[in-house]
Amino acid sequence: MSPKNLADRVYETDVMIMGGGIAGCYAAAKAAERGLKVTLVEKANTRRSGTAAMGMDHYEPVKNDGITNEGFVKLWEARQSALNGEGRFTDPVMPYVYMDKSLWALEESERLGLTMRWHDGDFYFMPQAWFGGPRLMLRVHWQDCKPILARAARSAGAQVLERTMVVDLLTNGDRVVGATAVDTRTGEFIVIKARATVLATGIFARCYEPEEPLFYKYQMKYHWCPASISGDGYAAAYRAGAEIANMDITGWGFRIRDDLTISYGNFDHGDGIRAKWYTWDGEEIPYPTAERYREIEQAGKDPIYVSQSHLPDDYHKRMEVAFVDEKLISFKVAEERLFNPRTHRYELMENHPLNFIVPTGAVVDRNFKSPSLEGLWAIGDCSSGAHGCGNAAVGGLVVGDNIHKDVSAAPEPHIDEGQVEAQKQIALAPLSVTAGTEPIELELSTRYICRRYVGMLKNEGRLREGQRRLRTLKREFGPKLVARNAHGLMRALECRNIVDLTDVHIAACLQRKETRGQFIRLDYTQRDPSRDNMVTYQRMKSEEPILEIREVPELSAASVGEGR
Amino acid sequence: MAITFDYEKCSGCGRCYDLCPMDVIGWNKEKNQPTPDYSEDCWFCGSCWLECPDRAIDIQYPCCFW
Repeated sequence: MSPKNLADRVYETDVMIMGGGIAGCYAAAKAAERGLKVTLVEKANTRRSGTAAMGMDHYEPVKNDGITNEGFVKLWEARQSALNGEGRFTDPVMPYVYMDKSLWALEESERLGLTMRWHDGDFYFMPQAWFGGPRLMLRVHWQDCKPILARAARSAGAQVLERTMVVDLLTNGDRVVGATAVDTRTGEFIVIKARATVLATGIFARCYEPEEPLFYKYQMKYHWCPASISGDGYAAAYRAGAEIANMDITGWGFRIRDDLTISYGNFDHGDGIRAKWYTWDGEEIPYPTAERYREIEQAGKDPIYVSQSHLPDDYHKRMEVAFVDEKLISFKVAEERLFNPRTHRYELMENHPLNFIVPTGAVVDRNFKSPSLEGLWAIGDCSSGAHGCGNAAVGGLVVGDNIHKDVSAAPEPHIDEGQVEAQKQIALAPLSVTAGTEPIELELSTRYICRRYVGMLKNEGRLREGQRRLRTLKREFGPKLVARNAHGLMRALECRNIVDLTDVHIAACLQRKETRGQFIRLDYTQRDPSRDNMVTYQRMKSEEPILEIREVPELSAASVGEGR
Repeated sequence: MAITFDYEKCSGCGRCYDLCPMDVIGWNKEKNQPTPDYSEDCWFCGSCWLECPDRAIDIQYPCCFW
């Protein structure tokens, strides 16, 4: 039997890229320019998909103000530690590479047609309101970055499969040889044979609640990243046996009650002037940490408000340009609610975990190659230690520029039909379930478990109870997920990824018996010095979950020198 | 209702159906018109609203977000 008997469509390609966001499009364009056959697989439409679907107003880092690569690594680690506490959480060679390649990535971006400059033809670096030091963030007019990148990938010759969701990676021993997928409009089952596979999907968030409160029906209203963030790349990597790191570290944030679409980022950017924070009776306070927020709440001084009304008029105008660049609909929503960002204050709500972002993701080396599996790469938010469009651009370009060396050395991919058949069964099973469970039901139950049993303040008992409940749900309702059509199949597959990754998340939290940064264990209130610079790595091996704690390497001349 | 279509303005180009990041929008082939098939999946990003060449799409924030 061949995959042709099992699949409605079979593709054979040099490079398969999963996820057509910023990183995926850069990689596709560059690899196709290098003469490779590239297949870009995207769950939505590359023209408006991924984290920058509606646009983007900032791009970082770009080498500026005399910063060195090593200097940037220090700054990166300081930023990480501001959230996650002392120690290293990701391989420092990654920020080194991001800085090292940033000027090249800037040139390449302009060549691909992206607008990197301000109206006067010069780059506009934003003043750093929060961290001080060098200005490394560009303000960019990127409302159409996705249509431009999608066109660049296509005109370079990449084949784009829109509305196609990857089910799982196909492996042959320790080598990734492609993936299976379903068309989310027709329900066709697809096999993609590839000599090299690049994961370029976004962050994972849907095991926690959206930032917005008071929803009852619109459960996908995530705030500053699209709701498609179900961790498809993380989950595919993990199930195939590649390591993912730092799944105990959730990005966290305040809920901004009035910040319905307006970019939260603008508070701290403020073009160099910080927002002001007040208690309800007007007492100005420093930026409230989670601990400080609780104190204020207990003293009856909440709600806390954040205001930018002290910004001069021209600063407000610059921020309005940023709304145009990142999320045009902000104006419409603000206007309809009679909310004027120039004069109104925003209400701050509780501090809570949001998503798995910077340190989390598939572990890669400085060439973005997975050390666990042959033939696998991860870039952008899908890789551990990446964040934002600048890193996505560098990852995509480095992989696109170099992957031909591995492709030419890779053996002919051998597909195991048994594996294809098993994945097909998983993918299409929800179509034949009747009177089953809607994916959103299981997803919401999973989010509830994370809120109630994991959350900001963790303890052994709650985590164990959450783990038990999650596994019960998975066993009982995983096989009962129902899909009426191909669209429903996509939601069911997302739900499978969410449940799998939540299990990984809880296991990582249970193992980590300490309090450090925003990782708070009420039963272990001290930092565990033996965990300094140690990170949780998780993968699957022969259907069994493996969890290891290992030290993150230091930045060394050797690690810096290994690049291409 | 998350998204509404003004079918008098809509020219049936299908751009919203093609582009919606969450696949909220379906297509009525007989009438050559978009339909709000999965409005509960909408995350109010405004991509359809931004891209519609006929300005035929309106997005309303439901009361639960105010």
